Amino acid sequence: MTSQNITWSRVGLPRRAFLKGATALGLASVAGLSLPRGARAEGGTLKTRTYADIRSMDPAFSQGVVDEEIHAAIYNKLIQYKPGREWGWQLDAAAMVEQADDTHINFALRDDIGFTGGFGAMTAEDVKFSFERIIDDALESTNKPDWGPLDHVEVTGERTGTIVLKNAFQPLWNITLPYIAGNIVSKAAFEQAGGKIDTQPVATSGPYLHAGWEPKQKTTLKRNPDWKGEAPAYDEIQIFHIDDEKAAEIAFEAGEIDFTRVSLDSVERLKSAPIEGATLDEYPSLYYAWVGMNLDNPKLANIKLRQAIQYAIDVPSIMAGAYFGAAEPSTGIIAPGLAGHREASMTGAAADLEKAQALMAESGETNVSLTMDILNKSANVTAAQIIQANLAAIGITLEIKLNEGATFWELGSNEGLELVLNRFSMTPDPYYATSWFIAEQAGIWNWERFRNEEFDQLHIAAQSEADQAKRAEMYVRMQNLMEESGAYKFITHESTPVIYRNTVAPALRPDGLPLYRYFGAA
Amino acid sequence: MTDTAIVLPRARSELGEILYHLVRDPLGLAGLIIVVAIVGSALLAPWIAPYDPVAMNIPDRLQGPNAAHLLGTDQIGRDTFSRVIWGGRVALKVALPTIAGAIVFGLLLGMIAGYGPKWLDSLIVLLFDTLRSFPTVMFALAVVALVGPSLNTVIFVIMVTSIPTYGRVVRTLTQSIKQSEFITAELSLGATVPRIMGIHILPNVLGPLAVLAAMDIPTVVGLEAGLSFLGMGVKPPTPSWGVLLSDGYALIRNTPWLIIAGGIPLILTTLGFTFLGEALRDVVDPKLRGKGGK
Repeated sequence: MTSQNITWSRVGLPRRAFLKGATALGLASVAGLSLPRGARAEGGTLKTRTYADIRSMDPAFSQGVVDEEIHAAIYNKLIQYKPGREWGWQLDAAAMVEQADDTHINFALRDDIGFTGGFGAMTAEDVKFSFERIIDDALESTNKPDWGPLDHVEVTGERTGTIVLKNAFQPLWNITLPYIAGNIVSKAAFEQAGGKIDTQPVATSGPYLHAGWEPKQKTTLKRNPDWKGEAPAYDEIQIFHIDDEKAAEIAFEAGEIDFTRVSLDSVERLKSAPIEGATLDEYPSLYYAWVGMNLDNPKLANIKLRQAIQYAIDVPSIMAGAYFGAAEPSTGIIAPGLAGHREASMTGAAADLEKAQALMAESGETNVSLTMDILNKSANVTAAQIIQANLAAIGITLEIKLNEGATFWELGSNEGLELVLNRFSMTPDPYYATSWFIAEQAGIWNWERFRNEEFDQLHIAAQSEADQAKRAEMYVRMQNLMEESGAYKFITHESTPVIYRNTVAPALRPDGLPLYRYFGAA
Repeated sequence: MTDTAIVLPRARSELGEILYHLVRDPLGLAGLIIVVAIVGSALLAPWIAPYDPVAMNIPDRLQGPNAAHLLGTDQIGRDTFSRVIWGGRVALKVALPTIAGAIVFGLLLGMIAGYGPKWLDSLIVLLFDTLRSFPTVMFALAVVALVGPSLNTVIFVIMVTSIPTYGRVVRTLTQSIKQSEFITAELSLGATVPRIMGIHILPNVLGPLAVLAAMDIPTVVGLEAGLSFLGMGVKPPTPSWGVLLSDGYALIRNTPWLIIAGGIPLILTTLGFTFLGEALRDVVDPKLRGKGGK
């Protein structure tokens, strides 16, 4: 960091924009969208843990949660996720933001946010640059899909502008603006750096500064002395890279870290023998795990065989054996709390052996021998062995093939894939889940090679459906189509148990992921 | 006049001789007992294991040792004691063919190198050095990543990386024996190379190889356990000591019994075969016999 001084000119908002902003703030308050909680400047150091090393400090190339945990603290967005048990957002860099119509979102920036390194105040030009660069084909941003149908950003004043979409895009409020693609960077700083950056931010604007990164060791954030918003709680946040959850638990018990996610198999132990001075909280997770069957593989061409497999798998046993009772069976790919969550799956969670055997007989298949690929993780190996036993009960021999990460994530292109125990991450909008199962994704992320015209049409229509009830119906129907194909047996959304010292007031998303900028001291 | 009978000591067979000396050595006896117990339990697994090692009983998961389950149960309620016993079979299934294969190829290549022309010797030694230059575990990980994990892959990898060890010993012994006067005499009488190698050299190198093999078995068993621990050995649900260790590691904060159950047989195997190997070495080498071998 060459300089952390901020210089910018204060320009008042146009009256109309101010009123809109005030209206938005007022509505937010009425709706229970409270201001950030980290309003106490207690000082000290928060030591926490991440499961992987950072990949990029450039929002256009952020690889997901690990990077975003830091981005959310050092950059600003128009809106941020609101900590709590229910999904919602709150204003961040925006003093006002409103949906003018289906394709236009007006915004006005706060006048007290500036960039470090002498790059001046945050302006609407910075917003335009930040959003449009992600959809610029020349940049080849990995996060381009998050911006969906963004056409351009129109700058209407120094700190006001309009986001213009090609068509309505409901996920915008749930996963675009408050997440990775919504981070606002300094146009001047990025242009000076050549258009993109890697692991070293060039100019930041959030309540914390990126003070250091030791590869595979830790990232250090420090309080931004020029931050004009509500003061963050800690002078310093140290985010240690501890891959293994067990090691993280030991580090927590040894007092080395103050906050960490814990493994599901530790929940029972930590409940029965609580750690003194610490609190264990369980949050639902958005992840979804399922058993997929490759529809293009001739061995699985018989739908009766696939249905027999669906009915033979006993999800409650998997919950007990592999997830230690700390997770619930899922009904689809959309978790409870999100639009489109199904109350029940069509094949049920518990095995129906009689039905499975009947379907097996109907299929006319005998001496069936299949292979299931899994990622080599303890819970997966256990779940796979339970599934192996379940399928043996209907006469199917299942071979379990363990894969390391790099090999496993290449399996989508393997036409010979048979069964796969899979798990995808998720953001709080159903669009994100269904986007991987459209025909265009077959052989990429759609490993089952599921192709359904109605599904694809619904996926497009649901993106712009403003009526939330109708939109939810669409996603329910899409999951029904997936299940009817016989290619999916939904397992669980898992859960996110976290433990923290009682001196810490964590600020977490409803799925248990941390929002460090809002962490406070208890 | 009284009848007198002269009682001559009964001549013992070579195996009897070896056993006689083994049981007189306390460490050798301990090694023999441990090895017999491990091999015996592995061979008799279907009859002595109290439960099916892959039968799940989820409600009984993660139990500590009790009357029904001597070493408790794992995360899906499988009997750990039964899995330990059946795990011994996997260990032997890997160790025996691996060592046997390495001995056969090591013998063949070592004798050719030791007896053959210089250029062939250099070529084979280069091959040995090349194979030895791969760290076994790294080599195994690379092969498994290419062809996928399986018991046969484990056997193949460990066998290939073990061949040079045996080959080098055989080569050195062959070169030494080749210089002996009785070999020169045989040659002068017109003995063929295969006869010299088969009748004179082979029996003289087998003893040291047996000792080496006994000492190598724990290494091979440990390698199999290590690869299975990493998920690159046997496929689930096959019980293996390495798999037990892996499950135990994942659940070490919930129960220590899985890791203990996986660790004890590995320790016993190492101790048993090492004691036996050292005692065998003393017996095979007449210079060490009766001197404690040290």
